[in-house]
Amino acid sequence: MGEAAAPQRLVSSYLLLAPMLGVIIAFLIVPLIMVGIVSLYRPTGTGYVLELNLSSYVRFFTDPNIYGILLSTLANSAIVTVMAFILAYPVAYFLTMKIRTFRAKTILLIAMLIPFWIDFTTRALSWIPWLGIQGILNQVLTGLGILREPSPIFLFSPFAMLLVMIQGYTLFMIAPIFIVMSKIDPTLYEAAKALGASPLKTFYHINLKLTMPGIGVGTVFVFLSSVADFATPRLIGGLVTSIGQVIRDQVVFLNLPLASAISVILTLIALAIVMTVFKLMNIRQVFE
Amino acid sequence: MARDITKIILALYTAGMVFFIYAPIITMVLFSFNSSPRTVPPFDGPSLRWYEVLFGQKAILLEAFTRSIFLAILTMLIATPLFTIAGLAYRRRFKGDEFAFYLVTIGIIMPGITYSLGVLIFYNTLGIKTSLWTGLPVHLVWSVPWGLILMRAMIDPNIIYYEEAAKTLGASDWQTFRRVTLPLFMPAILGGALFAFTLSFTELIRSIFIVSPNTLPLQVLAEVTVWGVSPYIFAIGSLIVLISLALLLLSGFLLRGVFEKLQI
Repeated sequence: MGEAAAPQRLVSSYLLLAPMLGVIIAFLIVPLIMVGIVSLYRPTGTGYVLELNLSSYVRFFTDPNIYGILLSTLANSAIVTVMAFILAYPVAYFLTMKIRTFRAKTILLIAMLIPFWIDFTTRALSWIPWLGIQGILNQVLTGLGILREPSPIFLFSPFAMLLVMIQGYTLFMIAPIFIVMSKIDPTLYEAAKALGASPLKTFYHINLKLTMPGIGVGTVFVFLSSVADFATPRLIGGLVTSIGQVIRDQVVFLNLPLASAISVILTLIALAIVMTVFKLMNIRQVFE
Repeated sequence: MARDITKIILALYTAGMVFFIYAPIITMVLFSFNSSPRTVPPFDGPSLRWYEVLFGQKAILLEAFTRSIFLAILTMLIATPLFTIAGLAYRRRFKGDEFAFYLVTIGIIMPGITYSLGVLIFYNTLGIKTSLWTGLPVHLVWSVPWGLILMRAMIDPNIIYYEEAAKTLGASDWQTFRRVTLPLFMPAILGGALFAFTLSFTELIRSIFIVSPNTLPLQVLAEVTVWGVSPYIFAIGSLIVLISLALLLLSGFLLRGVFEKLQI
């Protein structure tokens, strides 16, 4: 542990990082910078010319079919995130506080995480037997007399899209909240009880406040996944168009500058949200 | 008493969530065995008809499936040494450690579609034609950060002292690494490797512009867009479920060490 050894150790730390950072810089940072540059080129209809202008950004802010879709995608993603939080929190609470054995906790958590191992396209399509006009949901609802006749709104609709996203992304919320809640010192609950706090107060001051970093990580993952997801709206959302689909269409039309400009704006919004959540909820402790 | 009621309500709620997660998967597997082309009830009796279609005229899906498996294995084999070696650097603090970590996590935070577009432009600029191989760096960028996060979660603050102790007792550098360092990181390495496989195998958005011919998620999207949903799509979905379950059992077993470390 001598002082003299320190510089050599530093070099070796950087050497260990080098292969990974090489891949990250070449295949992540450079392409992202290129998106920024191409967004400033002038589109020509079949490609672009190397001539700086802002026409793609002007198009974004003046075409309601583009900024409107971004706004609706953001709104849908917010709904998915809030619903995922509401669904996830009691489950994470139950797993942490009410299940005693380590083995049972692990099995239940892994059972919850199963959809993560199945690709999202398959998961979206697996809802079809449930949601169609002759689907299980309609049969149950008409059978119970809740609906007089089968409703077409469950499939190829905003409802279907939100349902599939909520189902798929809730587990991104369960896992981080569960991990953070598990790290809470159990003596805190005893202290709260001894000092006469009501169960509700204990829940608010200990569980909810101390799991903020977990909620933060969950929020970031659910929100970012929903914003970028163009496949679910496309497969099962009917007439819903997502901003991801708009970007994809522009690539098909060979208008890469416009696709890039939309991507830049989408990314800036995503980063702003991540930074805000990071600031609001001391997120770093999740990784420690 | 009140506590019991809370517990029962929460248990029922959790059971409801498990149902919400599993119900569609179970019905999809069921309808993959339907003898009619219906994708909604009633179930017309069991048959292997759609699996015959899958292995016959829709073999294109199986080819895509093979490609996805190939790319996922390749991603796993290259991502694992990358994040393992990088993770070892985090045994000690060094200048720029957090910066390097955040740089890598950009791969997770960046919207997938933006990233895929960036790589498309990158390949266009360099004149690289898309193939299955062009998907590899993208899947690496997507999976390596998760492995690195696992590695950091596994770091024992005393690890450098264990290593010093081993060396003081006469172990060589290699012996120290093999007998002390590596075992402490093993759960993270195995967990990260499985993560890398899964993340690559299931990835759609990050492959969209830059992989051709299609991987499985891309091919399913294309099939459904053109032909609509038919039970043969459920048949390939069921095969994915089967593979996923096998992987899941394996990872549950291998990730145990990570859960233990997190004191869950």
